[in-house]
Amino acid sequence: MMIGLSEILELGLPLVLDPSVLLLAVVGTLTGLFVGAMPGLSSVMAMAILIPLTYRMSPQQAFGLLLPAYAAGTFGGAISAILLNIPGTGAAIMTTYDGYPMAQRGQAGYAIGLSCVYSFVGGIASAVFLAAFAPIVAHWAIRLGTREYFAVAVFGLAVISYLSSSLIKGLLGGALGLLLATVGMDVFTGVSRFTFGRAELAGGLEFVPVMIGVFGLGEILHTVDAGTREGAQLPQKIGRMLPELKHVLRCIPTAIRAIVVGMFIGIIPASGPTIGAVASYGLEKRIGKRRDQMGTGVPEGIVASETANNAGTGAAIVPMITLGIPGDAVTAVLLGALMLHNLRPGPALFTQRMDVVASIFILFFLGNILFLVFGLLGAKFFVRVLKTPQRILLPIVAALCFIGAYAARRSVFDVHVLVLFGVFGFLIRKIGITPAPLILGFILGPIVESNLRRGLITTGGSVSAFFARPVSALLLTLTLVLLFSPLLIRLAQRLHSALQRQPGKGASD
Amino acid sequence: MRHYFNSFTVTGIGALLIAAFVGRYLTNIPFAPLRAGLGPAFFPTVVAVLIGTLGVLSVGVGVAQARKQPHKTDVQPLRWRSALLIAAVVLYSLGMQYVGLLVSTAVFLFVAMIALGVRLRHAALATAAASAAIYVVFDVMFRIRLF
Repeated sequence: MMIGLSEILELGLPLVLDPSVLLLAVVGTLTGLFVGAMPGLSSVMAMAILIPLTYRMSPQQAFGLLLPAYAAGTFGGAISAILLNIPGTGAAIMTTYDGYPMAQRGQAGYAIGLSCVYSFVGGIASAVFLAAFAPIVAHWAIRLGTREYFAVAVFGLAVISYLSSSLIKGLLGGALGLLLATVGMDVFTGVSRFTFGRAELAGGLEFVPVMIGVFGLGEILHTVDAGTREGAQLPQKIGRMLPELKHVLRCIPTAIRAIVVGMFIGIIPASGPTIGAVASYGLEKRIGKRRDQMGTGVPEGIVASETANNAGTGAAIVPMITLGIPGDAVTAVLLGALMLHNLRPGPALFTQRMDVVASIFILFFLGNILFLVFGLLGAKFFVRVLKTPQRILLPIVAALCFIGAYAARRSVFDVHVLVLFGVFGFLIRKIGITPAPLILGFILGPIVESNLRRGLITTGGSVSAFFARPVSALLLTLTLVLLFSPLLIRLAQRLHSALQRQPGKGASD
Repeated sequence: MRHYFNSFTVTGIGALLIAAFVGRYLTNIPFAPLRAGLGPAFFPTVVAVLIGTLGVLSVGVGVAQARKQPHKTDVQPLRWRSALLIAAVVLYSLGMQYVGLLVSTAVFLFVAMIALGVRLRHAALATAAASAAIYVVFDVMFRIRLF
């Protein structure tokens, strides 16, 4: 189960060094950079569209395409954040605060170069963390039973719902995802549920068209509805790309803090790199050497955000590969890719398909090196890409969504499912429900249902038994605290203001 | 007049309708062929109750919001461009089985670009280029028949 560096290299390197895998890694990197840089196109959309192409590939080829796209897409978001003040991906949102002012001062190239170098630093740190920590978690996960798996999945859903703009809407998205996961034959009894007589639904809703529909077509319709952007107004001068060594060295303490924060938050199921970047920027603003200048265009702001979001990428893969619980929307898509290749994430993957695990570690490492090279060499090209009008680009991406959904199984029914979920994904966005909890609920649905029912059957229907084991008790208690925290905070605030209003009591209390 | 039409009331009513539909559907599915009543209807029932409860809460939040801000709504009407694009998407999915993926993709690209305000000549050029690229990548390279 425990896997060392020599074993990773021995098992994974021969598979990764295949020319087709290396070529796909370059294609994945360029796709990630392109999509990450383009506002309106997200990394998760790119991954969802790329997955059907991997249907006939080996797992190494598939992950050779997907993992570099993930790593490069996370960095790519910084390009438009710096040049346009619009984050290309959610994870680059904090990069706008210091990146855009730097670009306005004529330091766009320096800002992009710095974000590329420190995204690489964060990415490599997270690749090392993934390779070192995932086997330990997998080893520990063998001991987990049905109640623990249920608790981990419910905790993941609670975290992602909590992070939504509204807790009620986030939970509703998660619950709808759980409901969608019940479509098809019940594995315990063989009874069909919600199939409406369609043979295509007997095995449940196909993951690929649902994913492409919600994250691809739904996002496109949402962007069109919000108003498309014409060719962007870019800074006149991009300037020197490669940052000077003294500037790189100056930011090392910031980067170390960002790595720790990014990894710590990234590994929490369902929190992902975006939250890590926000937390890291917040920490830098509180304790950093140039905390007073944050937001005015200082390199530390870019480094805090970009190092943390890439440090979170590898960490987010850890719960996905070891427990089957995705760390964010992108790792949810990666989980789908594993399942598409008949690979079941969890401790068994580390014993039965160590070759796949080792190649995933190496490919993630490689992906980070590739985006450093192509990011620094090709950033000026990606700057030009930003001039592509969305009016032309979005219909082309929509067409790729259709063909992607069809390509996986060559099924017209899958295209209909894609359209249905595309429109559904658009409508839920319109009323403020973010699609990430929905997809996470859809993916975690089978884990939640089977472990809940199995747990209840073995304990004679006792709900309290779920609190009898330490890990499940801790996670379920945390879930309850998280869900009721808005209520508790409001109660505490009312109590505080009531105490302040009492005569003879005041701020001194 | 109070604006009860806000994102929370719409979400809540939608959730209640889904919960009601699921509840009605589950009356046809056995609840307890397994121990402790944990048959195939058990989990969807739990989820439907959760959705219904969240629906009630959402309507409650929506009504409270409407009382605080009586003339404000956060639900924007559908833009005509989006409606046109949705229509093009639906027509594409219905038409592709009759004319094949490549032809329907080309027609969709052209219609969608025109709907988004691209000039006729630019739309035609972009459609031709994109269709050719899609044919080469999917049909020739990945051998996914598009006809």
